Amino acid sequence: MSKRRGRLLALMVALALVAAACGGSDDNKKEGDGGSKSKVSTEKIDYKSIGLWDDGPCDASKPPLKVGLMTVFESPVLSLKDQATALEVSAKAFNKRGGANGSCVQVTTCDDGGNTDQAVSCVRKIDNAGVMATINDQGTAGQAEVSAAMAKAKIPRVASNVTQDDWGDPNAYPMDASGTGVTFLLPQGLVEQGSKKIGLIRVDLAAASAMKGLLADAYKGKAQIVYDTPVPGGTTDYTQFILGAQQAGSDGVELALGDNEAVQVVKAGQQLSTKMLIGSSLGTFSHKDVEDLGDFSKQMVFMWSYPPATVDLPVYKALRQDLASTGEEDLQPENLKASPMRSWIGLYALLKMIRDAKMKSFTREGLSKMLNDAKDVPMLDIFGGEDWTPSMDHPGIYKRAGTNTWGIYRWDANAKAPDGLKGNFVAKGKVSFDKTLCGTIFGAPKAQC
Amino acid sequence: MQSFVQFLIIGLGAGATYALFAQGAVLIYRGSGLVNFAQGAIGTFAAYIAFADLKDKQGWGTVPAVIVAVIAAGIVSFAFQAIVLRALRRAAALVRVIATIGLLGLLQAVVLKRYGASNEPVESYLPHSVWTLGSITIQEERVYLVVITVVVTAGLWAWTRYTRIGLAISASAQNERAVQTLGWSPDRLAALTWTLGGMLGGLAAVLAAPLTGLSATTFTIVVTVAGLGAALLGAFQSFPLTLLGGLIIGVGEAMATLYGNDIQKWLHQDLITGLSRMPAFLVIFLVVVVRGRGLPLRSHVAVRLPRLGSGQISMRAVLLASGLALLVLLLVLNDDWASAIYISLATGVMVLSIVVLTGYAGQISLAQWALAGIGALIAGRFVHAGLGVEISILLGVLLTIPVGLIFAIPALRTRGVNLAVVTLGLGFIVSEVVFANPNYLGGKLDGGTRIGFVKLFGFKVDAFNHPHAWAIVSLVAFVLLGLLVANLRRSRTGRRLIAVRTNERAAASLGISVFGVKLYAFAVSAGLAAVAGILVGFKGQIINYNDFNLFASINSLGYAVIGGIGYVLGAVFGAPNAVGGLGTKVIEDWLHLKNFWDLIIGSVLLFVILIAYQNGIADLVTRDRSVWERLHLVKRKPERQPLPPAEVEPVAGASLSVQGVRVRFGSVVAVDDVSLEVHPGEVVGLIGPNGAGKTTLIDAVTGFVPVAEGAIELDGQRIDRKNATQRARLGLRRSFQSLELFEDISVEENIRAGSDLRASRMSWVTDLFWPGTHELTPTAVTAVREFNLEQHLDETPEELPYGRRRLVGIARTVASGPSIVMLDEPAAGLDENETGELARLIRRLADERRMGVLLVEHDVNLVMSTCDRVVVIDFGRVIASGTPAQVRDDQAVRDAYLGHADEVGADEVGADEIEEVTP
Repeated sequence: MSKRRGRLLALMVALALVAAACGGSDDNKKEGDGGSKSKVSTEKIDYKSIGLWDDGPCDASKPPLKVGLMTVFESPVLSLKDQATALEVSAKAFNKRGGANGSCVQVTTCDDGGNTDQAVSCVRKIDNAGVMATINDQGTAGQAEVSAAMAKAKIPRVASNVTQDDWGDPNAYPMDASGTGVTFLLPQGLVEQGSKKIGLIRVDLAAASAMKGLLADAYKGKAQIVYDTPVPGGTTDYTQFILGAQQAGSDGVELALGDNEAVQVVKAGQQLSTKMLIGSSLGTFSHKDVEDLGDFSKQMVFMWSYPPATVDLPVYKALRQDLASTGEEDLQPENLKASPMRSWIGLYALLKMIRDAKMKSFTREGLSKMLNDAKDVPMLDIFGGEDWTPSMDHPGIYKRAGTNTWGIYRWDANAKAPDGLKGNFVAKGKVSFDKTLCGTIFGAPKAQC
Repeated sequence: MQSFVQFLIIGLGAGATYALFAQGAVLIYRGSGLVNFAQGAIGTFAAYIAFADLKDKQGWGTVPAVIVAVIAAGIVSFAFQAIVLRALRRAAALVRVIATIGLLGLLQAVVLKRYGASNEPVESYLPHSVWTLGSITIQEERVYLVVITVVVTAGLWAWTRYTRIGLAISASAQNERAVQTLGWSPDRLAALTWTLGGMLGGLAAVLAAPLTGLSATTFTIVVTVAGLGAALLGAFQSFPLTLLGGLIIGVGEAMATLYGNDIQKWLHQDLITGLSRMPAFLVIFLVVVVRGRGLPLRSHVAVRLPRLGSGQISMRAVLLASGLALLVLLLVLNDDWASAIYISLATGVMVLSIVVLTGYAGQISLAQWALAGIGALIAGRFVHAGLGVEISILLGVLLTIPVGLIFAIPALRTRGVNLAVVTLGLGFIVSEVVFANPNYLGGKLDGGTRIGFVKLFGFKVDAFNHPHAWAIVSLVAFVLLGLLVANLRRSRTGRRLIAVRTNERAAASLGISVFGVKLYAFAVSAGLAAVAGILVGFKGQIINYNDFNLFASINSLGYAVIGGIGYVLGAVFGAPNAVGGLGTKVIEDWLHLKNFWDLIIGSVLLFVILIAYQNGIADLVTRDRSVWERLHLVKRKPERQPLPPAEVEPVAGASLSVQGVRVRFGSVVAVDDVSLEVHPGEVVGLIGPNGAGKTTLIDAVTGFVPVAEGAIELDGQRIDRKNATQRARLGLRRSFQSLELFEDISVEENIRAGSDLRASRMSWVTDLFWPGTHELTPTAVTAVREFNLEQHLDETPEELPYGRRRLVGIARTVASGPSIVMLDEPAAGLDENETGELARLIRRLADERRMGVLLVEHDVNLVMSTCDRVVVIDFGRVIASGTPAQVRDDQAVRDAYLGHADEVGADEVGADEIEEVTP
């Protein structure tokens, strides 16, 4: 055997070992290294009493209701696969209780890989699979293209996460202003909790670079945006951002960051014992994340349009039980973040509308018409008592955001929590999206508010 | 002041991390002469093993987990050196660098596959109290990090300076053979440095992980952006300077964070992005400017690059392949496959730009996708402003060319790995400063440039609604640009590029403007990159600038090497490996492997190809021309016709006058007040003992080293302020002691490079379209005949015996008919007969062609028998001059060669030579 062949053989053997090392990705979920662990109640729920239903298992012989979800499952920097898993798990749970008026809900998911070409390819896949509506889709690249392609295929997007590229898309039926909305609302949450000088620690992206100016205009008279810094990839010391915000005189900071960066900044704040309030989205922090912060969790201010999964809301019993039932670590109550919850909430809302419309056969056109006609879909107190009108078309750039109420939450280590958990989020107030952003670039002109 | 101190402390902590990563890379470079782009990925791998596997999953304690992980990093690094790099021992440096990029891709993909993309925090395990001094906060953990880095730096410095093995490691990177003769195995030394370097990467990562969390990409960014900058400051040699570099970058970043808002106000900008990245880039840029040289020194070892294609085109094959691709595209492939096609073709255009820049001109750039993004941005802004798409695209391409010239600036001062690092920084800074700033992109909230769905000449062609149409647009662009790049290879301009790629000093000595060629290569490649950028950016309604990141540039260089970086066909074979391209499609759709398997398989494929075919797939495919001839895809190569008759004509005679020339290297005076003259038809010998300053004098006269004092005139015109190229163009040419031939191209092309008539400036452009067929000039034909090279014209210099190679070097020097020729030891390595023949040829140059010849030679017989006059120098000064007989009898010459009677015996080497001289 020649030396070169020998090398190649050795290379192949080494690579076979590499392939073996790649295995086992499904069983390496991180065990909790602290904090309380939930034990979700398996007691039978009276679904009717909480606004749901239980008609027994769906009929597999009936034509199914095909729903889809596309987002980034795997990319070098981001994974939102838990949203897809949550939809699959939710569909299974609702199918046990009757599905869509007796038809089973069938889920098709697609990984957009965080790039536009793959995202558009996902639309084709979803289209070819005969999907009639998507639920909780979340693009991370090429949203404008995805939105246009979905509209062209006439696939309505239920409970979609809108961004600046598709927040006016008439084919989208978002329940709220979602992840981008919270970015613009968080200063209000901080203001209501006592901050007047706000620092902005944000992602290092072009679209985010404009945030400081936009927020300064939007919150003129209420708060000053005194500091703005991006967190670049490859950052090795996060304390500089906390110290920078402190030096600039901030009494509160808004974190507009990915999960890891946000956690690192909060850890830095904790290490420095900063007195600043730290505002973040509930899409970033789970019950466990906050409990692990110990006393420093008191400094945190959270916002989202619906409460965290551990809040005592009757319908959340079903949500927690459904999502936890498969044993997926990310979907257990202590780890559950806002994004996967939307899969369950979106599916509930769609099925509720189908049920109320007594729809038995499903087409894209039929579902779109139903969504356009639907008004005040009961949301079972999920949105602060507000019901959902999917075809909302109100002034402001978040034209399609179907609900208006957002909540402010703080952590109370002594608060009662379900399923054996310790400490809980406590509601500290409600914020009206429309009122807060009235007269700003994001909201309606003052005359129309 | 307190803020300043506070951020200074923060910066030192971050800088220590950068330095720790960089020290591993420096150690590896010192041991193997290779920049390890995978240093961060090795660290990432170690950090995941320590904290995700051993600690979290297996429940190990932190200390054993960290130790095992660091050892694992060393094992990975060792395995890579033993399996891949040893197989590539004789490969071009670029190929080995690409292998490290393959390792980066492989490790990153393995981490993503095994642990996923979600990031995990890591608990601090070093003591992490916070100390407060007044209002200044000091974190204990960072102090430990700085101390560990300083200790590691000191240890490495002492080890490589005071231990035998450390010294051997440093020597090995310089000269493997010399180290071998001392009993060391270069392979083992390289294995040792790779193992230790990998362990240092692992150590840096496990120490930094609590500060950064576990992330698949963080450490790779740290190394590529800051670590390599720090290492560059230490010239990839000095550990203390690398530490200093890391600290400067870290502190600079912290200061940029502290004063960022003030800087914006000061510059009257409402938004400046990427400020914190500036320090690393400025360090890199300043190092290059301060340390760099326009032309490399005599000691510079030219980096060999993979083999070059001929640039010959078979239009029949091009039309057949294009037609077939079109048919398959339209009749067989669905939308998803059409997408894979246009992604591959856009990448193919990018690979063409790399073929021109790196393949032909030898300039390594890791900023090509940044240029592509600039092209897309310019064109996009015009579209956004309402201009037509077609004219916007044209403007985008044309206006990117001047930007390419800016990117060329570092190349004017540096080359090789340093150029790769500085362009990497340049590309990154463009991403951060331009592509992240919405003010430049044209839409505050869009995050990109909104262009709407593209129509070309009235046809809807946008990629997402009409993927087949966009694939056709991409195919047309690729084919046309491929033809241009092939034309360039065959043209005079192409020969200039290749001359510079192979040997900048030799190119300059032939009157080729090295600066001009580099600027041209960057300009053409920028234009090509802009087309690639537009093909990528104009796919949808909004240009997404994430596509133009630095890793795309790094990967594309890898695709070019896989395909064949010296071949136009390299783009055809390399580009399908692009992420989302045909390779990904095959892996996902045919092999049903998803989720990072394309990256893993791509990395494996890269290793296999690098080991098996280091010149790329195109080289393999085109090696046996007869196969293609049998398929009637290329025409049979015509028999070489005999060279046409050529009259030997005298050159335009000019006298060289050197007056009182002095050359200094720092405090050392290498040439001291030397004066000499060379007239038309005269052979002047320049002799002297080793180290006397003979070659330095030639370097000074021909413009390769600056003259401190004195005057040099050619035909009465002062030339000492002109550069080497200008002097060569005036008719002053030289050969080199170390030959410095263009080894990648045939003997004929070597001669042509020396004899191509100066073309009009427009030839830089017209050569892209009409390369022409240029006959050898009569002067060149004469040189070929006189030096008896006719039968070797189609061979490459490396295929010739040493004596012939020497003659090629001289023939190339005289092929343009210069007035003055300076021959530096032309007889070195020749046997007696060859030397005799050389002496005859030199005399003919003077007697028949009326050239003035300055002959530097140790063969005193040759000098004395050939020269009309002889100048003798010793210790940089002229000690004698006159006819050979006069010089032979000069006592000072005898002393210089023999030493004084009380110092050296009369039978020393050289004594006989002086005595035997017959004028």
